[in-house]
Amino acid sequence: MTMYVILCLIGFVFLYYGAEWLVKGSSSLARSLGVTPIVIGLTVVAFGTSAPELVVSLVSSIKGKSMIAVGNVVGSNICNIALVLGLAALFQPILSDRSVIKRDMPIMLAISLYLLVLSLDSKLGRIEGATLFAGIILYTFFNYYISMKESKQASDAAVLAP
Amino acid sequence: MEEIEYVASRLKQIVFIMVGIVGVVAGAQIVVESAVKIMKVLGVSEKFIGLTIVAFGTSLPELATSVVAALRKEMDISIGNLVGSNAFNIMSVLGAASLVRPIPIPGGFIESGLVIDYSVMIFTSFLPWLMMRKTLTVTRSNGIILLFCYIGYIAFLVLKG
Repeated sequence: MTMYVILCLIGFVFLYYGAEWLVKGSSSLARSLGVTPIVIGLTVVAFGTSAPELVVSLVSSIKGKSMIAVGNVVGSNICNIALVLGLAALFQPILSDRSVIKRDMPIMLAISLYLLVLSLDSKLGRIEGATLFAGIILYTFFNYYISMKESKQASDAAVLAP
Repeated sequence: MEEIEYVASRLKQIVFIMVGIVGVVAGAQIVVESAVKIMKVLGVSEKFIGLTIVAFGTSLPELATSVVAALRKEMDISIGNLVGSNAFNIMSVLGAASLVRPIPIPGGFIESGLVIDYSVMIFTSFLPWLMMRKTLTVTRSNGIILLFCYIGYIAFLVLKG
């Protein structure tokens, strides 16, 4: 038992540093290929930091441990908000942007509800998975559009300012 | 001279990416293998191990980043990033995994109790919205409430077995 716990912890260390190196290497590569920081943040960094979840869920699903794949995602999402945000706020109150309330959180909620609807038939099929994956592509383009708009507004404001 | 430096740094980038991918893939294999073993020794379900140990482990990067930023009194803990990461988890992780191999929910979505875990996920997605709606701030006491939610949820999972 102790050995498996230690092995599991070693696995976490691999996941942690693996993701960090992957993000570091690929964002540096993207930068030297002339990709803008906004796009790098939305694609390379976003995918890279999700790589541990992604590969763990893929491996468990391929090994037929489907409940680990689903549990990992649901548990990670609960952990990200209840534990990570909770702990961070305990150290220091966390301020947020109005756009988080108006846009980001409603989107997250809608996606969570959509997953609930997809899961009601007790499986996630290929077509359902394809709609989720199409969703992430749309979401990335949407975020790109928003950040371009915001940076344009910011530079307009800078021009208008005396 | 510059040419050599350029090639060296390109090589370094590729090495970082390769080592990173190998690290993540190896780490994932190790985590899943050992989690399954722990599951059998403890006599708990796949769902339990996925929701607790595995989920906690894959959220360590987010946890480390936030705690380090908080300890340094930096304000760069972005709720937007945490929220985005959750949206990403559902769409890209479950999207990709079910594209590669359809994911069955053995025992049924409602009967297996997974519906409760989904409800907790939806509740914890909604709670910060309620907290921030007026003040745009997650206060210390809000943080304590969130932490109690997490502890309560884990306690519920453990008691349920």
